[in-house]
Amino acid sequence: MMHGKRRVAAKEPTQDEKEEARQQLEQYCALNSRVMDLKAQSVFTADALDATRQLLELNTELHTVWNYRRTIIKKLDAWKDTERRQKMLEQELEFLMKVIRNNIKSYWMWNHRMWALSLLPRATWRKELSLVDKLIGMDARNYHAWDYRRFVIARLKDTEDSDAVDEQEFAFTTAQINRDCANHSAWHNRSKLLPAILTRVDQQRREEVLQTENELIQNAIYTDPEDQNAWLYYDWLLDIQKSDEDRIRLLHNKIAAIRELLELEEDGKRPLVELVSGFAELGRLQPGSVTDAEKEECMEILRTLKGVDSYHAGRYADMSSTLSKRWNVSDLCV
Amino acid sequence: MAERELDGQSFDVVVLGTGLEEAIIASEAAAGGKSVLHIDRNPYYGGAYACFTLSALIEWAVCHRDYRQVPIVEILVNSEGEKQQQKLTDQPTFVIDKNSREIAAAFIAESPAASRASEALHRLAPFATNNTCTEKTDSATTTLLAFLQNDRNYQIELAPKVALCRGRMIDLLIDSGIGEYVQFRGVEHNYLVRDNGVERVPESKEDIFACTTLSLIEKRKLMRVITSVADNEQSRRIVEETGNILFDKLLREKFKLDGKLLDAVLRCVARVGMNENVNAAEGCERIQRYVSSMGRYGRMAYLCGLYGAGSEITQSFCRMCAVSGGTYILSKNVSVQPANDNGGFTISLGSATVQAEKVVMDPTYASTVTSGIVLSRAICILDAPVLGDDTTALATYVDNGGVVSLLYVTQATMAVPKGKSMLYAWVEGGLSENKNLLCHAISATCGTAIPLITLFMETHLLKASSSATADIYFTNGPDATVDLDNAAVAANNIIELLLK
Amino acid sequence: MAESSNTTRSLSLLVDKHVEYIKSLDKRQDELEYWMTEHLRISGIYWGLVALKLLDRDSALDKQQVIDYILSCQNTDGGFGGHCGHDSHLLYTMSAVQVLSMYGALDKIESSRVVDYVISLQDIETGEICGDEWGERDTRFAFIAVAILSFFGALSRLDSDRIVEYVVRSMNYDGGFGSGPGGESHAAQVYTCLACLAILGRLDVVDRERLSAWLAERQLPSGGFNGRPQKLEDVCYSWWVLSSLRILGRVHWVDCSRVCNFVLDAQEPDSGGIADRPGNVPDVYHTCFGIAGLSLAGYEDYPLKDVDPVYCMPIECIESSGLRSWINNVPKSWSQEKS
Repeated sequence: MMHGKRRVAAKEPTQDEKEEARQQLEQYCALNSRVMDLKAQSVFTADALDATRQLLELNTELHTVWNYRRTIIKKLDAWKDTERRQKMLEQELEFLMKVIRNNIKSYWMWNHRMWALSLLPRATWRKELSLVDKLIGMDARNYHAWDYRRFVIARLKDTEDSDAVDEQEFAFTTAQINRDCANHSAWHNRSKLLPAILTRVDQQRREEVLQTENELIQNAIYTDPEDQNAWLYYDWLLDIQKSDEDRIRLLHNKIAAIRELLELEEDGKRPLVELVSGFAELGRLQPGSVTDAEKEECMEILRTLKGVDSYHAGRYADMSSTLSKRWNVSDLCV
Repeated sequence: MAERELDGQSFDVVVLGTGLEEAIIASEAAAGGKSVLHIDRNPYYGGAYACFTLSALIEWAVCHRDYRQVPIVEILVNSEGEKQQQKLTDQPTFVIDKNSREIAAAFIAESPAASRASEALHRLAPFATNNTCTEKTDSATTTLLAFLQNDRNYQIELAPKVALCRGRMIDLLIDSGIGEYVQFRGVEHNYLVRDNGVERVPESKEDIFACTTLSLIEKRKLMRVITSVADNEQSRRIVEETGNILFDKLLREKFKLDGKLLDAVLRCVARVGMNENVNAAEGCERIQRYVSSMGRYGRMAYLCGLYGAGSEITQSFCRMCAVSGGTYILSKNVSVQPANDNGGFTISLGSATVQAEKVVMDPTYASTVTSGIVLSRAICILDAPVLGDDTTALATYVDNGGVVSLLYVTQATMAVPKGKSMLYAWVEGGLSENKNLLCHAISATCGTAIPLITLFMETHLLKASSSATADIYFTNGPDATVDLDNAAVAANNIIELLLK
Repeated sequence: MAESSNTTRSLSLLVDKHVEYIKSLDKRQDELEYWMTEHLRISGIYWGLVALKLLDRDSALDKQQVIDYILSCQNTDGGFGGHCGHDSHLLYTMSAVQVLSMYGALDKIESSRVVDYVISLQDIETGEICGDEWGERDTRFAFIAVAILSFFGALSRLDSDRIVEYVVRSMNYDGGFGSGPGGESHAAQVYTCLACLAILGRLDVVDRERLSAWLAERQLPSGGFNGRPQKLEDVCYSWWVLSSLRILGRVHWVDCSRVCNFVLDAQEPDSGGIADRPGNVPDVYHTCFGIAGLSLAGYEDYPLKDVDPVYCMPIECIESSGLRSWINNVPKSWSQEKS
């Protein structure tokens, strides 16, 4: 798959370039055939291992070769001795550091790393975590790096105080969010850590934690009200409240915040959508609490949105149709 | 070069004064193949951009060579040294004005170079004000003399300025290759200073999100400025809709800014001065320049030169000019006359006479001048760093009905020794009306740190009153702006005419 | 809202060029890329065949030759490798089954061997599905296992309740799904999870409103979709997002004409094929998902075959395999949109 490779104007390659390309191709094919032959003949030697190294450095995507490599490693004599196995797997991790530079997005390579670490007699999960810190420092949204981080954290929790590790991870997401409040990967990870933290604190602490969370998300919403993620997170905070009473209180806060935002910019698209869905939710939780004027305002908003945000006209029409039936008001989108 | 060798030579361009603009012009003209003679009446490079130790600065103030641009300088000394803070207004003050200067100058003319400043101080002491008791003045003199013994680590700029990362000066430095010879470091933060405290101006989305002193709605207001005013397309539309009203009004009405938010955007980011009328289009452009500058070299919008930016850049351009064949003469008074009806000029310098096709000069070399911008400056040496961990920062004091620009430097800029710091403050207008304001600005910024020595100066930027003759070009000199861009623009304009 | 793309311009689908491009793929043996992608050739054939089928031009490939090749990739464990001699993996087993199904040739393989292979990959403890014997888990594999078994009418052999639980555990606050429990939402994982739930008739566990809103926001001003917030648009998400929206009955929540323009813009005008985004080098993967995306978006200037949003194969193939019944298990309240 070609991701992000620019098309360049076709230029006739020079004779030298052609020759170089031909040699490169021949070398790759020869190495590939050699490895596949060794595999077919069930050769499990250090030489075969080295051949897989050479091939994987050229192409990280050969899962069969990764498989073969693992098989060889487990069949080598060194595997039987703890110290030698430790050394061998440490070398394997170093090799992977080299490969990671070629293709950070290779699923197979990450699988192989997990495999090596899992079998390392003395695994160094803290060291591994600092590697992930570095990767996330370079690309704060890297999907593989975050997935791998969760894997490392899960192992770390087996060897260290699990609650403390959770707290550290939670602080890590706070730091990432402070660096970029649109870092969806960090918000996501936070949403996976928060419930666990909430279950082990007392009622008072729980309220404090939720209050801080509420402030953080409000901060994000005010900083960038057009970021959908912040609103989704806010709605999720509503979900995890213990009672409808708390939910209604938070919904009133949400509506008040939107009113304040709209006072500043009356045409903010996202706050308008959120106002409608806020009232819809309020009406669901507390029938009769939405006034007729507010209902009509919502219908008017949906009509406006349908015009200004043509990409999502269908969504506004659907919302309008549903609410007009539920509230028995006229649908202005038809 | 000796006068004798010069006599009778002809040059394409003669440049008078070695200030920043003149240095750029001389260097670019020489690089463009012109023969260049570059002269300064002073024994040092830099003109109004020069950089001095405190001793050299005192000597400069006393023996100023340009009689029409004599600065008023006041030196305030915390007579308690580092022991205890004295209010600036209570500190003994040595005044270098017309009277005291004449007396001091007469004495120091005979002194060896190394002791001129201390000699001058002894002569100035009787003129010290605030000397309710002679003891205090004596102690101040002692403190100051002790300081002068070891002042080599202080590099004090006459016109401190910074470079906007995506500005004309940086472009010029890159294009000319000078950038390789000048060292910079990022100006870490931008502060809004008021009598009741110092607050960092949040400049980016991350800053705004993480800021704990803004309310939510204030954050939203600032974000709107960052996202719409800073966006070329959107701001153009806004200006069109609102009819290019004053920027101040646009921020108040359209963006609903007031109080410290308004000051932060208007004074700290757009850097609109107290009596400056800036329209919406220009204001938006300033914000855009600022925002687009962030991220070019790290997250900061400005760079601060090490060892004194203006003077270092000036000298680098002069070196570059010399490498391209330019000729340099310092410490020489000159006079310029039109050569004949066919154009050109005759330049007399001492016993030598040279011919020039074109002449570029700093207006202090012009035969008839009028007074231009008057600036009041303060330079304050503090006993300790202020502004947290910042190594260099910009600040704007907005209070007491005035707006003062401030530049803060520490050891990291190689202009101050370890453990100390220095604060520059300046404002347009005369010293008698602005000294109080400058004192407020310094006191509010330095907090509990002790201002050991504070200099106040009033400088006048002269303007040539006529330029009836073609082929004479006048530069501008350092204005009240914080960055070096106006100098780069002015120099570029003249270079274009010269190389046409 | 930015109106950056010009809606009036109508680029056409370069049908002949794409057919030529796909046919040429097997003749590029002088290119390193040909050999570097050998390990997923079987998927390459699937992508090429789907594209050709949707263009109604599948005669461009030699059916018998393809079938023979696919059969040569089956290993003794019953699974398929990406190429002869390569280890089995669910990803390639899925491609093999899909290609054989499109050719009506599923009877050429011993179904029990494939089914046993798939069943062997379910972790009895957790219900999760592994990609191969080495144990990588991913919601993609849950979908693939379910899909493969559906072709052989063997769904009952899988502990599907555990799979649904696993998929539900992979759900996030935005309504989307990640690569597993804890994983961040990603449009491609959303598709696999929805398709998995659709086949199992358990779409009721989905937060339809929230997920639809999240998916709709994946459309960028260019008309193209990204896979996650703040990421670049990519032609393949035209498929992952639109197929998900189709399953949810919400394709009309995005601007289909703009998606079409974005995909058409990413065509390579000379040698054919579609790239990840305009101006880039094309490949068969994006060619397939670009054309499938056009089909879902209702591209009108060429009679594309309708594509099934669950199996990513022409609906007529899915119907003849009797697999279109998933549509009857969609929650009643979702009243399917007019398609």
